[in-house]
Amino acid sequence: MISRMDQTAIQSGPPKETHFTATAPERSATTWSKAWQETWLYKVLRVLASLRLTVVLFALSFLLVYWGTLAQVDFGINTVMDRYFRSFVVKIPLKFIVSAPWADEEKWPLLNQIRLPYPGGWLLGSLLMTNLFSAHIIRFKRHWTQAGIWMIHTGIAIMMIGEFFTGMYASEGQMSILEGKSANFLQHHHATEFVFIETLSAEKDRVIVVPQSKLRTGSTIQSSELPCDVTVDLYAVNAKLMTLKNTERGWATAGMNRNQKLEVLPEGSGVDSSSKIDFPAAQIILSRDGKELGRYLFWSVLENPDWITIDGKKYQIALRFQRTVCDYVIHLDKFTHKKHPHSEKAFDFRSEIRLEDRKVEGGKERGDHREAAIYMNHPMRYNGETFYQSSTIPDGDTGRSIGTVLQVVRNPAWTFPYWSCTIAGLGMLFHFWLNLSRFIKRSA
Amino acid sequence: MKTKFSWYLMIAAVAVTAASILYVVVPRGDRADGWHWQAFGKIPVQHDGRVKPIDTLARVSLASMSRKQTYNNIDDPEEFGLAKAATPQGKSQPAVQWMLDVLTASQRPFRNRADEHTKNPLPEELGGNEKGTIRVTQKELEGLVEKAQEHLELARASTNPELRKEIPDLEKYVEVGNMAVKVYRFIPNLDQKVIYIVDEELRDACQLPARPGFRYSYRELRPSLGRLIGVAQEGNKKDSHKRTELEKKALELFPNLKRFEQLTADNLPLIPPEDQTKLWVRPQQAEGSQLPGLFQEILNAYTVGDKDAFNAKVDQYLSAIRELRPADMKTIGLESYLSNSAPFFWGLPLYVFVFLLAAGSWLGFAFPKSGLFEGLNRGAYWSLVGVFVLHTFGLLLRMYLQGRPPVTNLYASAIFIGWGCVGLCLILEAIPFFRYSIALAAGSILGFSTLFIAYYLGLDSDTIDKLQAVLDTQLWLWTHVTCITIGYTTMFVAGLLGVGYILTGVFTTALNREGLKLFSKVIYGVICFAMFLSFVGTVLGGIWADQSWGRFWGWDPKENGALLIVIWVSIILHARWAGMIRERGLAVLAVFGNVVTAWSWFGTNLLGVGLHSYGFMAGAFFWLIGFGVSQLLIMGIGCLPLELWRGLQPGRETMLRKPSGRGQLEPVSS
Amino acid sequence: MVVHRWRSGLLLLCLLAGCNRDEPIAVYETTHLNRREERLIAAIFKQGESGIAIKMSGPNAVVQRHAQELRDFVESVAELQGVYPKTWIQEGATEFRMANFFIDDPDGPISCNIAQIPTKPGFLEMNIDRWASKLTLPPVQTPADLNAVAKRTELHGRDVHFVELVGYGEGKNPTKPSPSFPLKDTIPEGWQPKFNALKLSPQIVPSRMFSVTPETEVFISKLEGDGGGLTKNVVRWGGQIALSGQALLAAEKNVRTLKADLGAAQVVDLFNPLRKTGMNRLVGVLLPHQGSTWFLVLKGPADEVQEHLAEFETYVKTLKRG
Repeated sequence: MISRMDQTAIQSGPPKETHFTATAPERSATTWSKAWQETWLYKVLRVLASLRLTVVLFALSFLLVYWGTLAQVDFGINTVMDRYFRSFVVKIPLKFIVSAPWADEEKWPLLNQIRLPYPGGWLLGSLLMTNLFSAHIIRFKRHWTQAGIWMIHTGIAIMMIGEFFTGMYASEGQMSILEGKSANFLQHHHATEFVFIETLSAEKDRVIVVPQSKLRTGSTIQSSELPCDVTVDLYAVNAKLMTLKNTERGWATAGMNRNQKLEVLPEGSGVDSSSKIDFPAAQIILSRDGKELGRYLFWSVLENPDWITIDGKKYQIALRFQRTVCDYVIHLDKFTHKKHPHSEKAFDFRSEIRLEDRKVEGGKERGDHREAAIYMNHPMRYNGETFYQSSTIPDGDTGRSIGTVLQVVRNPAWTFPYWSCTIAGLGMLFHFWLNLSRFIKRSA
Repeated sequence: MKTKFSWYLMIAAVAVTAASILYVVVPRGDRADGWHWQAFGKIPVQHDGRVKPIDTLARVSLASMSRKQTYNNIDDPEEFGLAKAATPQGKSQPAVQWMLDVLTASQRPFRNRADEHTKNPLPEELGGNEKGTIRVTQKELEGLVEKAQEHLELARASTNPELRKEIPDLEKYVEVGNMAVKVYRFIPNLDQKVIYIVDEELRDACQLPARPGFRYSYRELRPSLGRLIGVAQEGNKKDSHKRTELEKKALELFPNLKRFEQLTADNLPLIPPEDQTKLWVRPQQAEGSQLPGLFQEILNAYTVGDKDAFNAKVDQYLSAIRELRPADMKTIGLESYLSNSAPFFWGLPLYVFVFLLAAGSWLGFAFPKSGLFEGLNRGAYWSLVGVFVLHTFGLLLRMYLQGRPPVTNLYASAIFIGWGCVGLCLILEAIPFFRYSIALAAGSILGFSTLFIAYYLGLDSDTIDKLQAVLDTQLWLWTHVTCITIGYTTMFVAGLLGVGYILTGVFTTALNREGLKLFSKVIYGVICFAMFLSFVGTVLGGIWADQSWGRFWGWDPKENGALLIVIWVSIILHARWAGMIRERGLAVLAVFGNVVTAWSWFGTNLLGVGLHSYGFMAGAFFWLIGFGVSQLLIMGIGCLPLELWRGLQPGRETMLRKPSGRGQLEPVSS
Repeated sequence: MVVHRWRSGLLLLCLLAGCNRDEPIAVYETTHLNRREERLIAAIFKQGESGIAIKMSGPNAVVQRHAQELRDFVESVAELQGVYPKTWIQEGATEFRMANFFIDDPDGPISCNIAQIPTKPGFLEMNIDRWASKLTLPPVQTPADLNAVAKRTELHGRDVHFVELVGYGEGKNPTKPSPSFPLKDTIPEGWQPKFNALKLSPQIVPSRMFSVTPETEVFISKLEGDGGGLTKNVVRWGGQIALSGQALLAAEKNVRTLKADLGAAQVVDLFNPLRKTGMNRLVGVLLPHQGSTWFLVLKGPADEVQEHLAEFETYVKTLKRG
């Protein structure tokens, strides 16, 4: 690099097209390579490998990251992640482009309404990857002095692949456990489900789940597994319930929300402005053999379910955040929430838990037992899942913490960044050491 | 050195710096009024998570309300019922003395104007008089009201007609008296003008007159408090960025008022428990300790203006507590020393001095034979080394007191970035062919600006604060935070060198083509270094996030800020390798690195404006924009056609010779 | 988690194939780790403008065992007495609850509490629904539903609804409270602990009340510091038996000192001769201890007070640090 710098000089006007003359290594002109250079593949790769393309893609990524940051003034982090970074094309409102994220919809309608299409994270990522691979096929010398660059680029590639797999395969959920109690399911705030629950005994429930993908406005779900037909009159990704005024008539005819109405809210802006979680709601008609059993209003926030009796069986019915039942049980022995003396600042959150694996393998329970303390910066890893201290459950009356919320993450690609940064970091060290020693040699 | 003159210059400059540094680090005594304010300031109190000198509490409380660490008494102490020992009108007093005024407020007679909280003036029996001023203390008033209450109950229970006749009067006394007691117990020292309200709209809303210093008393605010609470509640309902300016300002004001209300001697956890693991307790909760009594005696001595008793009691208190908690008192002594010697504050003028020396040395180019350049350059260099040592000293002391790596909060990051910038610039200036005083100027500018930012950040809260649980990890604070902060440092140095490159090249002939080329090499080297540090720092941050939240990368604003730096540096380097930019382009892009880094450092915090931002942070938004615009202007200048660059004019190539064999740069006579 | 991995895999597959994913309806059985059979017995009645709910809940068998105690307590409260069994431990009040009682049992403790509830139309159903939801029971929808769980009775001229629910709940066993009355005492035979049913509002503990006879009671409370001093309290106590100024001043002069284990106590004996029946005598004790003052009062008809005075003084004398 330094040697190249020496060839350059300050010049006026735009620099010459240099990306092959200045940077492409001279190859020995064997017949094989000549033939290779004649192929269309080589020609395509040559265009794709352009260093100028790299710079342009970097610049595009720079802006995407910047606008994706500004967008978080308006939207929750998950919405932004899905729209900006884990997408192929994103439509960006003008107000972010002009760096005015606080521009009000009412005062500046145009800034909010005009949306320009822009390449999303996955598109830019894959283009960068293509660019990188092509460059390494076409341009880079396979010489030990280039080892640093190879390592850096390999590291970056691993990191981007890791982020792709994380986006595709990682799942996370929350497990809430009261002190002294146990839990065996996770809740996922990014999806809902509609459930019928039949109580079988003190310990057992039978649950019939209609997944969110079926809950589309206007669709009717019929199945022999369902006790009745479910017609989705309206499904709102984010909404709140409002109590009806005296003169108003509600949509619902049954259930505990008869005197409520549903107000649809813009996606992502959430009822709770600090966490910006969407709270879906739905208007659902339950019917049996064409006969309407009732029109119900459901909201994912509500804790208590509605009830319906069909064929003498009592069912709880609810729209709730998606749950996954785990094949292990976690018991919270003790939860500590310490504060700094004479201060409201948290000093320690600590869940002392017991994990009991109840997965049945070959006819019997695996029966792993494990005791662990999970606290800040000290997660527990078990069987491909990682458990983090996330937050606390405060007591309604006293505000004292009476339980814990654990964040449970399964990310098959979690080791990728570690490999990536080791390789890239070593590569950088090597490369800079190489150049520095050359530089010092030259200066001496 | 070239001439004797150079030597004299250098020695003079270094002597001035050395003397100033000595003045800063040698413990300074109290003001010459005979009161041992500093000793009183060493009394420990457990507040906001840690044991600290009462001096720190006083400074933080006063600064958060009044944006200053000293109190300016603009009223007549006699009329306003201030303590006898209070500073005369128009003079300023240290924060601890202000604290004493607050703590002793309930022991002094106070004014009670009838129109303010009740239509009925306090009756004479309760210490009132016609003018509406009262000559009793709060405690005395409480006693009087209690007596009246007993009297009233007796009268009510009695059948004696004489006694019963007094009932209506007594009822009125009790009502009015209770109200006054309530008000005064709640708010210590109604008349101190400490609450800083510079915003005109907020002042208008409170019907406060503009006044030099813009500091107002609680009494002046009282009539409009009800309305302000309404405004604040309205604002609280909205999303932070949808609040009106007035709502934001009102919301910022209330924490300060609350802080004021909590500052009474009864509220301070002053007394250490026998069990080290327990909380410190308030004076009236302490059983069997002599300390509460001693503290009261100190306050009494202050109230009556008895200097000798005050000093003696403070000494007695300190030696008593030193026996109880020797370890705590050691750090308290150091912290008190740090805040009284204020190395970071005094660093400000010293950096200005270094900058002036460096700038002065450039005059030497006009008088090449005089040795002016060498003298001032060397003088500036060694002065900067001196200030750097002072800066390091303060930094290490802070780290020792907190028991933490250098960066734990925004304030500390400013101190540390400044330190790193100065250190890096000293290294650059030591490179033989780069001895132009440019790195010195850059270092002193960066040192000054970061300490300036730190000064304002320091007014917002305790700078040695305790950490939230998630940050409570030495490992990641040492690695990730330190690395990323040094990354910021190198970015700023590269950016400022870029500015130097452009300004020197366009407006001066100090550097010719060769010189500029060397300059560019230095920038390039620093940028490579920045690339490495930012990348490693960002990755370490990802690993920390993976360890504590289960995701390596979450695209949150702070992470994105770091990523922006990495991408920006990648753009610079790849554009350079692609031949899209050369030396000049490198400098221009490096200048934009300043904007990116400032955004990453501060801008991402501003996205949440209104939630956790007071004072400086709200204003920081405009500073940030201003800074960005200034950098864009400089980039614009850098993009001027090269024909306009004076440093590149043909025939003007001989101001500086190429580096000589010994690696020293020498002006050449033309 | 298995479901999820599979779902993500499907997502990728669909993404590649460009089809819509279609998840099936899932049916599975879940285990409730914390659920058990629980019983809730409650009494609801109106008290002035607001309502009072006295509720006992816990594991089915345990609650059944203590059901009669609850019914007796409710009856005593309805009679404005509020006597409760000596085995119950009264805890402090909270914003929503006037009192909590901790009831120990070999099969795990349960709790009983008294709460004030708003009485807007349908309040009975609303409260039942709230409790039912915690026991995995459907809400009350028809009058028949209501009659099945709530029985109306008349107790001392009040309409009291006894509600009884049995379902599956995740209630928590109450933890044994740290003794809210920080002193050790020996309760004389015949004194019964009592909840101040006359004053149905949140009751501050530490304090104790005993019913000595139906008309005579002992009341104990604690205040910080000197609690206002002797005169103020003499005036206050005088007010309780309608005693006026001069008599009070005289009584204040006749204060005697009682040597108790915790220190010297001041005893004031007040008597209102104008009142022929009912509560006309009050013996008040101020017992300063560790920076605060205990107030102990025995009050009732003069002859009954006289009869139990020795017992009361022994009680005061033998109070010990807890």
